[in-house]
Amino acid sequence: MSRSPQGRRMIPSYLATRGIGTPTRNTLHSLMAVVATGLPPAPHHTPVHQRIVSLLTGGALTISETAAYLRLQTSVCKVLVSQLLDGGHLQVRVPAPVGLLPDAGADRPSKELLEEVLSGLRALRQ
Amino acid sequence: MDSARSGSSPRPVYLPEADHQRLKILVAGPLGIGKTTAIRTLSEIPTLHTDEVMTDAAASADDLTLDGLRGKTTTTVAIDFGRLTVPQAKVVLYLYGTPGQRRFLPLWEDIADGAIGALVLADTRRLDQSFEVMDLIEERGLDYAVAVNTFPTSPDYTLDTLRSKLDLDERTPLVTCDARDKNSTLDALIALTAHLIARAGEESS
Repeated sequence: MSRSPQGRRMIPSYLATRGIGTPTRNTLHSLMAVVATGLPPAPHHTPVHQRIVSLLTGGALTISETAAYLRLQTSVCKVLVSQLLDGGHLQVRVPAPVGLLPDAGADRPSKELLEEVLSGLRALRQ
Repeated sequence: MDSARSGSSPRPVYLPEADHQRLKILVAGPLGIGKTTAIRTLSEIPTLHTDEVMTDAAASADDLTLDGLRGKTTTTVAIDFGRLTVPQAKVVLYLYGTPGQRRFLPLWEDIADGAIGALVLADTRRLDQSFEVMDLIEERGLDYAVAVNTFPTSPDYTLDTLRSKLDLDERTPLVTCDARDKNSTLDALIALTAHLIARAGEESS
């Protein structure tokens, strides 16, 4: 991927977020999928913000994957993504991952879904 | 390492357009047990990793005097992960390599968050090293299966002997697995999924 830097990042993580240390929302999980909305980055955005928007213009990725491709710590990536969600530059792809739903009762996937996974995994055997 | 670690970053493999659920499964075990191998075997994307920083809260739990790290206040830990789409179930599984030592406890908060279960890898030459990770998983209330990764020089115990050595609950699946082989590693994941179904059944009844 050409837009990713080779070697070490040139600026420390805390500057990438413009000095902000906590996400503006506490509901971001590493498996939340996000995608660019098409709104171009604003002048106040850092180069890292711009790289996130540009990466996610091609399609949706989870926050974990976004962090890995751009070599960011997941926690830093969450701060940046939450800023970009606030600004309308990114949007969350639904549905939210099972197990990450706010309802405590939905803490685990349903037995039905697991049964489909089991059958689907068997089908993947060669 | 054919992951992002080697100079050139891989091309991003975007998520499928179609609706799908994402589920997180931990692949846990001590260092060098084959976690990354198992993830690479199953993953449809080149294995990715994120560097997570752990602060000094963790260091006190570990004896750092041996490796000259006394006084070090942050540690960077690379977490490998991969992705396996199960089209029939419209599910994308995320497999997270999770270090098994207690000193990584602060990272567990994030890594284990939202995980539906764990596959614990063990090696018959050093079973005791898997106890720590089994304890960590049990403390978090996660269900797990144990897969004994077969190495050429590993002693060949029967599964019954291994079960007793590992002091496993009789319901916890115990399988052997060659982390380099796709079917064998899939079988371990299948054993875990069957166990999660059984546990879901117990809880709802």
